Amino acid sequence: MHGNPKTASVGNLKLNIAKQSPVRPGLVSNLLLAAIGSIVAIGFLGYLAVLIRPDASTAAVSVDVVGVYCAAGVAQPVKQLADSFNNQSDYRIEISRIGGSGELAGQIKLESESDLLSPARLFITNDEQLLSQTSMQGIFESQIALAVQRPVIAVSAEGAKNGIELAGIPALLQESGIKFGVASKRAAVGSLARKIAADHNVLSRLESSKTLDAENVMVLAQALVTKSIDAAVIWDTTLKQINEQSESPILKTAGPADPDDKTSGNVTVAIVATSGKPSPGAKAFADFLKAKKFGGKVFKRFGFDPIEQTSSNSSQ
Amino acid sequence: MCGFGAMYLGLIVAMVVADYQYANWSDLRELLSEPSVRFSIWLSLITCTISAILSMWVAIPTGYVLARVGRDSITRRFANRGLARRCFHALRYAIDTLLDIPIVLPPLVVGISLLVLFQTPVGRSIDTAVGDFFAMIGFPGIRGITYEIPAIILAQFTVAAAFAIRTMRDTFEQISPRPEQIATTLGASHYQAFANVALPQSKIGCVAAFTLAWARSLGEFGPILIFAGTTQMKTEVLSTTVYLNFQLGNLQGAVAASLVLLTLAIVVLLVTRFITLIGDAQRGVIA
Repeated sequence: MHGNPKTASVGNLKLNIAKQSPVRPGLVSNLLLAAIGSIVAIGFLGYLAVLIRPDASTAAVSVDVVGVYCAAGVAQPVKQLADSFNNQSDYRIEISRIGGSGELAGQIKLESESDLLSPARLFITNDEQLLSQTSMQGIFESQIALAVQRPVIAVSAEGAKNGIELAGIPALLQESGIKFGVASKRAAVGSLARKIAADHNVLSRLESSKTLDAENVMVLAQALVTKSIDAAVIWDTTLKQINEQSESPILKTAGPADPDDKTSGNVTVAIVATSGKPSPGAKAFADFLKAKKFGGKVFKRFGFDPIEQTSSNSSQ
Repeated sequence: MCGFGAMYLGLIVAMVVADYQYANWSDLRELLSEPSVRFSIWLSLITCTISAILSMWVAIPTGYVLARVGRDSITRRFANRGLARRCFHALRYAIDTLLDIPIVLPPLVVGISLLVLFQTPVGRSIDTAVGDFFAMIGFPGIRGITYEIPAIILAQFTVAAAFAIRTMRDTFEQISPRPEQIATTLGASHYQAFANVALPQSKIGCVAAFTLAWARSLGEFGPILIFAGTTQMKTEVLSTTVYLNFQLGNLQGAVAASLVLLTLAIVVLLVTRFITLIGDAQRGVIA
């Protein structure tokens, strides 16, 4: 309260006691001003958010947008192919998720079975076995094998084990004092590493002596890049992709993961079965991926062996 | 005791220094020259600000009510009505607990829950209505909420608002209700007492809550991954840029994107501290 006998003030509120009027006529509430200001700010920022998105105002509703769930090990060539496809097609390819094959397949299955909204129309994986599992029956309407990659044992080019040569996972397990990692069972290269170990009766040893069980092949490769581990079972193509990001090699191959060097993984594109009419954009992009002059060329550049397409490569 | 604090402080400083040392500045320049990264930075800044403003809309009234309708106030008001008092106590605790759910839930669960919510008939109709609204105002490319920009804002807001409410409740609890009571005895309505007496006193708390909501939104990742996806030039924000670069085997790019995120966080925290200091100084002068 201040000296003026006819007014009282509490905080920002000035009251005229004599007139018994709580507020001076014409006084605009600060709260009201703040509320209006924030509404205007949200409107402006919201407009700005949609304005910076290049396709927000141009994309017609009728354009077939194809969501792709892509395995981490194949993401680089697929990203490049999606960009060139978008430049020459009426359809739009969007890579909605990148992750481990098992993780993505699990999400597609969940979305499909529980009728959740899902952008997934195509699934690109390097785990062919996964697609043929009974639990995945009915999820995909067709699949096409695109390229081949091989599991190798990689070491850091600048690490302590850079000169080491290992003829397969059994040889890796015999080395003492080597910290190594494998991808989880949910990743294609992880399940393949375990299959090789099981074939050579060293699976339990692999499980007990591994230092890292990474979510997917890229997470595993990054652990090797940061020298958190000495060796890892990764794809030969992953090694190539990592090395291409630097002038000098970052990773080196110590040997094949399979002592007989016969194990490989197929990169496969699967079209997700939908309850509505099939997406023509999904089919068009799958054809683009398998075409020798588009997909084949790019896959080759990234170190994959493209598969020559015959009728037996694709299954309905 | 001080040793443990110093160790923790050392850990934070070491992490920040390690990031800056690992980063290659040419990688950072290269990263910032990519249109998709510039898009993700702008989208992050815009969506975080919208989420923080929306959080304040919810946090200020909710925090005020929670602070003023406390245990003592309920006990006073229902002094002679035991059952009603117990019911109101239970209701208040239930509301308090519900508001904490987004804080304690794993981020992925928040994303899944939002996704499930928007596949219910009501959720789908809201999704369609939002898509129709954007088409009507000339943005047919925004086809609803799920897997679109509104999904980012909703995912950020869901978590950030809970933190802002906590901060505002604590702020109003620190402010004595006495001046508001005096204002009402002098003829002010409850709204006027709140708007002209309590709210101006909570200015510093509002800044803290806004900053916390903004910073929480900037770091949000799990719900965005599930509910909005990680499509480049569409729903990619800075936290997903880090993730995408990591998944593409580009560790240098991931670290460079982390540095942008880290720098933004440091700038925001410094600005907040500065504003708080000015506020304290002003209060000191008045006192």
